Order: sequence, then C-alpha cells, then structure tokens
Amino acid sequence: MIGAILLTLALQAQAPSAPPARAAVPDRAALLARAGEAVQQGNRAEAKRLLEIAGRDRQSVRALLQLAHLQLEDRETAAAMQTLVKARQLAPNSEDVLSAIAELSLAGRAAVPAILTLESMTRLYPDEARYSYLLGVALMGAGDLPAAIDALRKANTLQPGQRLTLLALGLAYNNQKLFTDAYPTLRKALDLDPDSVETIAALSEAEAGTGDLNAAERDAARAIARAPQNATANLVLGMVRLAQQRYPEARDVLLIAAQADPASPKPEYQLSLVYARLGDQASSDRHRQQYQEKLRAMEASLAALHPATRTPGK
Amino acid sequence: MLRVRRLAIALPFLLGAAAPRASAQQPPDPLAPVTVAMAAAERALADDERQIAESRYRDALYAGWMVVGATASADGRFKDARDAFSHASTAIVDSGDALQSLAMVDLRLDDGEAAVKILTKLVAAHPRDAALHRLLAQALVAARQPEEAVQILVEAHGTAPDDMETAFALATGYLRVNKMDAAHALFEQLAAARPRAETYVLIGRAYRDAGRYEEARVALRKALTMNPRVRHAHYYLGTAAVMQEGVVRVEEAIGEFQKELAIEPGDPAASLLLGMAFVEAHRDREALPFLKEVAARPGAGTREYQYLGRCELALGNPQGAVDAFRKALATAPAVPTESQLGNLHYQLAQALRAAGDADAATSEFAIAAASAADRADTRRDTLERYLTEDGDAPGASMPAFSLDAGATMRLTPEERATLVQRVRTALARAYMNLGIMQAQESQFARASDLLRSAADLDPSLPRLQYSLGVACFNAQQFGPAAAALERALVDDPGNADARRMLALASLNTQAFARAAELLKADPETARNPTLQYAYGVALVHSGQAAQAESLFSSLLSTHADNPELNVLLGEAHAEQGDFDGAVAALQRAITLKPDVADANRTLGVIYMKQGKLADAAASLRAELKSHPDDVVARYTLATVLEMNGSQGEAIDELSRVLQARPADADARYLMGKILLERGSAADAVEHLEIAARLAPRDANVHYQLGQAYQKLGRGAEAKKEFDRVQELKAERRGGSE
Repeated sequence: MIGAILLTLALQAQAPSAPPARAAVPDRAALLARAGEAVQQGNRAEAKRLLEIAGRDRQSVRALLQLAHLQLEDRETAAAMQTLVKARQLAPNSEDVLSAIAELSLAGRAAVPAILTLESMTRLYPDEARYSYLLGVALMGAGDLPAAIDALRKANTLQPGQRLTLLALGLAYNNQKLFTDAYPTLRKALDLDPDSVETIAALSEAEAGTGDLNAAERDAARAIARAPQNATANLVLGMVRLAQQRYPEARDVLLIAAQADPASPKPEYQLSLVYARLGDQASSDRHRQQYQEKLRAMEASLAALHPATRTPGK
Repeated sequence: MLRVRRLAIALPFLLGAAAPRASAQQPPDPLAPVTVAMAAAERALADDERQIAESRYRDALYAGWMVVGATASADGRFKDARDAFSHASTAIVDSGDALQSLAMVDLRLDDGEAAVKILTKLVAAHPRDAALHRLLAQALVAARQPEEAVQILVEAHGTAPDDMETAFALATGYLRVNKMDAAHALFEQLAAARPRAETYVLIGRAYRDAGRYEEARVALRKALTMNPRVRHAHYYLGTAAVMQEGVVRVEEAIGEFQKELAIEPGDPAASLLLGMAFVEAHRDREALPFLKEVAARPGAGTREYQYLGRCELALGNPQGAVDAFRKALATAPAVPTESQLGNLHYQLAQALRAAGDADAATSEFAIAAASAADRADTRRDTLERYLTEDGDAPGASMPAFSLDAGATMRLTPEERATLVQRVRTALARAYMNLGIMQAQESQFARASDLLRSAADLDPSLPRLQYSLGVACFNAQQFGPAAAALERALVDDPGNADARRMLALASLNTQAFARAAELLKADPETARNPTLQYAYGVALVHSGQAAQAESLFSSLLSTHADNPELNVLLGEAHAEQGDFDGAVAALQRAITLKPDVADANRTLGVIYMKQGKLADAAASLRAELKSHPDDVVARYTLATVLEMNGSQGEAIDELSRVLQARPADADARYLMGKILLERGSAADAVEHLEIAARLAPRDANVHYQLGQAYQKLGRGAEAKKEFDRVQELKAERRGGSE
C-alpha cells in the first residue's frame, strides 16, 4: 500500500550541474559537434576524421571514445584498439576507457591485455560484479581455471543469481573436475535460462562427472537436439557411449566434438580410448598424440599469461 | 517501507583547486602533485571531458594518499600508513609504488603474509626487478618461509648474476636455511668479485646474524687484515662476542667497541653499545659520558634513556634516573612489548623510591606488577637481549629497507600534521566530485560510497552532506541519507528539498515522529495528497493516533472500500499492537483486492512476531506471488525460513534479495551468518566482508566476520574483528551514559 505511493517530488536544481568555471575549448567542441552532424548525415568517414583530429590535437578522450565506437561499428577492430590505447594514454584511470579496452580485448580473444586491464578494474571497483565476471571469463579463455573460479565466485557473491556468471562458473568447475560444485551452479543457471543449450550441455557434463550417466545422457541428448554440433554435449554423449561399451557410436559423436572445438584436448583423449577399444591402435596413437599436443598448446598459452596468481616456490 | 522513485537532483561540483605557483626559491610542496592533478581534473570537467576528469581525480587521490601514507610512516604510525597506502593502491591503475609501500608497511607491522601476497604479484609483473625480488624474499622470511625466500633469490640471481646485492641476499638466505656450502661458495664469489675489506665486513655480519660466530670472526679479522681502519669490523666482533656468550664476554666486547670508536669517534651505534656494555659490566662511571651523548642526540629512543636511567641510578643520582626513565617511557614505541614496558615501569619505580617519591614509586610498582612475569625477566634485559631480539642498527638480520617518505621526512611533526590536514581536504574534494560524477550517471550506490569517503575525511565541505544525503536517498540507503540530511539542515535550515527528503528517509527508517514533525511543517503537505498520505503513515506509526484518525477519517469518508487504505489501517492497528484488528483490516483489504500490495507482507510480519512461522511464510509467499519484486517481503521470508530451520530455502531467497539489492547489508549479514552455521566459512566471509563495508558500525556483523575468520584459521583478522566489536560496544555504552 505504502509502496504504491508515487512521489512526485519535484526538486529543483540547487546549482548548475554543468561546471561553470571555464568555457569549453571551442575547437574541441566544434569538432565534436561537426562530427556528430557528419554521423547524422551518414558521412562516417568525415566524422572519423574530425574525431581523430579532436583526439590528436585537442586531447579529447570523449572524441576518441566516439571514434572507437564508430570504428567498431565499421568492424575496424585493430584501429578501434589503437584509438582506445590513445585514449588510455590521456586518461589512464578512466572507467569508460578501461572497460572499452577490456571488452574489445575479450571480443578479440586477446586474453592477456583483457586480464591485465580487468585486474586493475577489479582493484579500482571492487564492488562491481561485472568486472569480476569479465575477469573470470578472460581467465577461463586463458586457461587459468583456478583464478577464473575465484573471480567468478566473487562476481556471484557481489551480484548473485546472474545466469551468465553461473554458467561461466559451472563451466570453470567442470574444467577443474569439480563436478559436485558445478552441478548446483548449473542447475541454478538453467532455472534462470531454461532454453540455454550451453547450460544444458554443461549440466550434462557435470552429471557425467558425478556419475549420473542417465541424467547426463538425457541432458546431452537434449542439447544435441537443439544444437547438433555442440562440442560439450557430443563429448558427454561420447563418454556415456564409451561407458556403455557402444564404441562406434561413441567414436562418431566424439569426432563431432573434436571438430566443433578443435583446441580442446578432451575429445582427443576420449577418441584415443575409443579407438583402442575398437582395436584400431594406429588411430588411438594418433589421437593420443593430438591430445598431448593440444594439452601442451594449452599449457603454453597459460604460461605466456601474466603469472599474476603464481605462488612463490611453486 | 515507503518506496520512492529516484530523485532527480542536480548536484554541483566543488571546484576551486588552484594550480601551484612555480617558484625556484621555495622548497617543493609535498602537496603539489595533488594540487596539479585536481586542477587538471577541474579543467577537464570544464571542457566536459569526464573521462579525463575522472582519471585526474584518481591521480589526485593516489598522490594524496601517498602523502598521507608517507607522513604516517615518518611518524611511525604504521597502521595509518597501511590504511593510506591501501587507499592509494586502489586509486589508479599503475599503483606499483603504493603496493610496494603497502608491502613494506606490512613488513613493519610483522604481517609477512600480507606482504608476500602483494609482492608476489609485483614480482610477477616485474620479473627482472632484482630489488623487488629481494623485498619478496624478505617478506617470505618474515612469513616464516625461508626456503621459498631462497628460491625467489635463486631466480633473481639467475636473472642478474652480476647483481651483488642479490647475490649477497641469496648467500644470507642459504645461511638461514643451513645450506652452508652454498653460502660459503657464494660469499667466496662475492669476495673474489669485490676483494675489499668492506666485503668481508658484510660477510662477517651475515655469518654473525646466522649465529655462525667463528666464521664471522674469520671474515671480520680478514677485513681488518686488509684494512685495519675498516668501519664496523670491530663493532661486529664486539656484538658477536655478546651474542654468542652474553655478558660473560662483555669485556671483550668493550675492547672492540672502543677500537671501533677510535676509528670513527662519536659513532652513535658504537657509542650506545659501549655505554650499554659498561653498564652491564658495572663500570657505570665510564658508561655515563657515552650514554649522555647518545641520549642527547635527536631521535634518541627508549633504549638510550633506559640505560642512562640505570647508569644514573647506579651512580646515586636517582632524580637523573627518574628523568631518564620517564623519557624512556615517553618514547616507547607505539606498540611496545609488554615486557619492555613493565620493566621500564619497574625501573622507574626503583628510581622514584630512591629519589624519595614514595607515592609515585608505589604507582609505578603497581603498573609494573600488572606484568609480574616481566619483572622476572628483568635479568634478561641486558645487552645480550638487545642484540639478539631487537637487533642493532647496522646489523639487522636482513638489509633494512627504507620507507621513503620523501619531502615529508624533512618536515617537523607539526608541519606534517598541517600538511595532512590540507591533504585530507584535497582528498575530500576529489572524492566529492567523483561522487557527484557518479550520481550524475545515476550510479547512486557508488556515488554514496565516494561521498561517504569525502565526509570521513572532511565532513565540513560545503554541500557535501546534502550531496551525500541525495545519493544515499536515491541508492535507497535511507538511514545514512537521513543522517547526512540532518547534518545538511544544520548548515542550511531553509533547504526545503533537504527537509522533504529527510522526512521521507525518516519514514523509511521508521523514524516516524521525525517524519511527522517535518511533514507537518512542510507547506507542500497540505497541497500534495501523496505527502498527506505519508504524513498519515507517520502519524499512525508515531503514536499520534488522534491526528491520524482525523486524517484517515477524511480519507475513508471518500474511500471506504479502498483496499490500500484498509492495508494502511491494518498497519496502524499492528503498529499499536492490536494484531487482531490489524489482521481483520488486512484480510478485508485482501478480500477487496486479492493482490493488494503489502497486505500479505504485513500479515506475514504479524504472524512472525506471533511466532506463527508457517503462517508467516505462507503470507509472505502470497505477497511475493503477486509482487515478486518486493525485496522486503523476500528478506522477511528468508528471516522466517532461517528461524524455522530451513536454511537452504533461506539462502535461495537471500540470493534473490541480493540479486536485486547487492548492497543490502542485512541480507549480506544473514547470508553470511547462515553460511557460517552451515560450515561454509569461506563463502560466509565473502558476504560478511561486504556487510562490514556497508554497515561498518554493526557489531553483529563484525562478530560473525570474526567467527568466520577464526574458523578459517585467520587469527589476526579474527582478532581485529573482535576488537572492533568491543570498540563498538564500548562506544555504545559511552553513548548511553
């Protein structure tokens, strides 16, 4: 009842919201205004030219952010990143600039710059769940799962019940074989987004990991019905078929899984087992070798990562 | 709870930083970096370059907190320094210096683990920085991880084999972990690379610190063979004699210290030790000139005065002893060990008795008696103890690092205090303007945090309290909003907006009498039905039934079958303890409109108060069915479920509360408490730490957090929380007296 009250409290401004101390630099303002007009007229090249001048000659971070935005819309990713780097030189502690760099790095799968930027952001904005989430995702991308779990858990604490955070956390748990932690996490994620194929597939992996092969088979099949090339679901189904000694079926789905996620060593390992059971030792050896190569590649990418979480003496 | 939409209020920035005037004659102003950054931020604001403004304000925060940290370090207030460097480290991206300073302060506070955590990351980010590696090694030693320290130094030595400091630190590390052969080999390499007497002095000192006295003597004598006037060799030989066998070899030590002073007359460390050694050898007359000399130097400390006191007492000058012991107590470190203090009081008492001041002596004896064990330890308060426990200035077990306080070190304590006050005001301005920037972006929770930081530093900044009130109000933090708005009205009693907002904030914090008082005086109430209604609520809940009845009579006469009004009536009955009347009105409201807001929630609260937990849960669930966004109902349901033992369900509900309101301190607290009870101490800590930030004066939060730390074996942090509980309780007792 009380809550239904809508207050119409019209409070007037006590002072001008715009700082009155100094007039804006006309050149900068004029350049930005002209760039805005150029965008409205569809002349993006002219807009970019004007914004670049404002950024370069007038040190306008606002202009550089607008320029990066236009460049991204035009799929000029490398140029956008260069623009943002210039913006960072002018405003190294600006949240807008840092978050733009982090997101662009993540989108371009540049894990190290994303992680470095997001580590700073989680220090500057410790209560912002979004940056912990993005850091977790970046760390997952780099293969540093323990650190990813820490970041994602923090994100989930700061803002519980976010489906993407829960999914990412569930995936990280699965990758660390922490299936009993993964299961309830993914269950919650699925409650929030029942149609998510990725969540169903990840849940099936957690179920397989906890030994519930019936549930794993059911959920993997659900995911494959919606997305036949889903790597995780095909991997899980392959593992279930392997356990059921249905080797040819296991081989077929594991080959799909390997093709869908060519960087992952997991399907290669399972394929080496399946081929061994099928008596094809040459194929088994080949997949074992591929497994080892992919594992090494993953470890190398992890080693290249800024070792921010290393423990002395280890 | 009265829900209000956000208030659109323009908050003005606090401008006015002047750029420092350059002057070739004037010494550099430690505040200059802060002022420059503030001025740049304000220029950027004027140019509508908000990103640059934010960045520069953050630069100002960094520079300001570094100055605060440096002054605190210079004053020996290391806890304050830690706090300041911690703020600095979270102000900007490139905060390596702040983090390094923080680690150094942690080391000074004997918190090696904290230093290790910071330095590990710094070393990872700067893998070729040998000095950082050495500092990390030092932290690892302090954290009782000598093997890991050696490993870090091995890495650093491998990266920079020609770095003599790292090689020396590694050799010292080897000594510490008893890898004598490796240490000898490295020392030989060092001596070969730098075949000088000074090198052997360093090696001798390292052996002495490791308790390898024979090797120490060999190295130190070798140094003296190479250069009979090399400094510190005799000094270390003297200290080695006492460290090995105590005062038994004090005469040998005296001889070495005298030789040291013959090389370097007036050397403070050697003069002090010679004075102390003479006292231990009962050669007090010879000790006196040395102790008087060191006690007269600027920066003389407890130890100098204490030995001077002992010497004066032994020479029959009790008044001189009393003076010296009093100075010893006055200069005792900020966190003295119990034994040192107890012993000082005991010695002062003896001097006072000898001087004939029996009353003062009795008082000092009483203080000393409080630590009787320390008196028993008096005999150990000797030169040997000083050398083995406190370390001597030039020969500490690890090379002493310097916390460079820069220009602030050259200031007097009074000048530093003035400087800090100026910095605090500048910091407050930076926080305030950052807060206003966030408020303008509708980031009210963040805005309120920043404005609160400003208020903590300088609550008297113009319009700060009003800005804080507006931000908190819009972030639905009504308690802090009310407090800030009350303060704002003290400065500006005519601010009608502040009064109205305060009335609504008071309503939401159940300060109904205050809300009624403010709304009664507000001319807008008579014209605005919403405010009139709010006034009615305030009257009902503040025991002003007659006025409320009159108000509601007029409202009911036109709206008898209004379900919302019946809910209000129900709330009025409930407020007066008339639960039957309340239930009747609320049920009538539900009959009139099954999904009427707040009716089932209020019923739930009534049932909870009556202990009918199942009915309470059912009513609250009914409220949530029609109003799933009612966070208060959901939190209340979580409370009922927790009381009912359904912790799992309570956690689910609290998760949803926190999803909607991550900054809900009560929900964080309850979540943490439940998780702790369920054995998930690590998860509990995460929630309770946030709760402690949101409600820093809630003793219950600190208590639960302390419990959680304790379960995780984090004893030091647990103690800090329990201490905070005691402080808060003491404050509350003080407040109630």
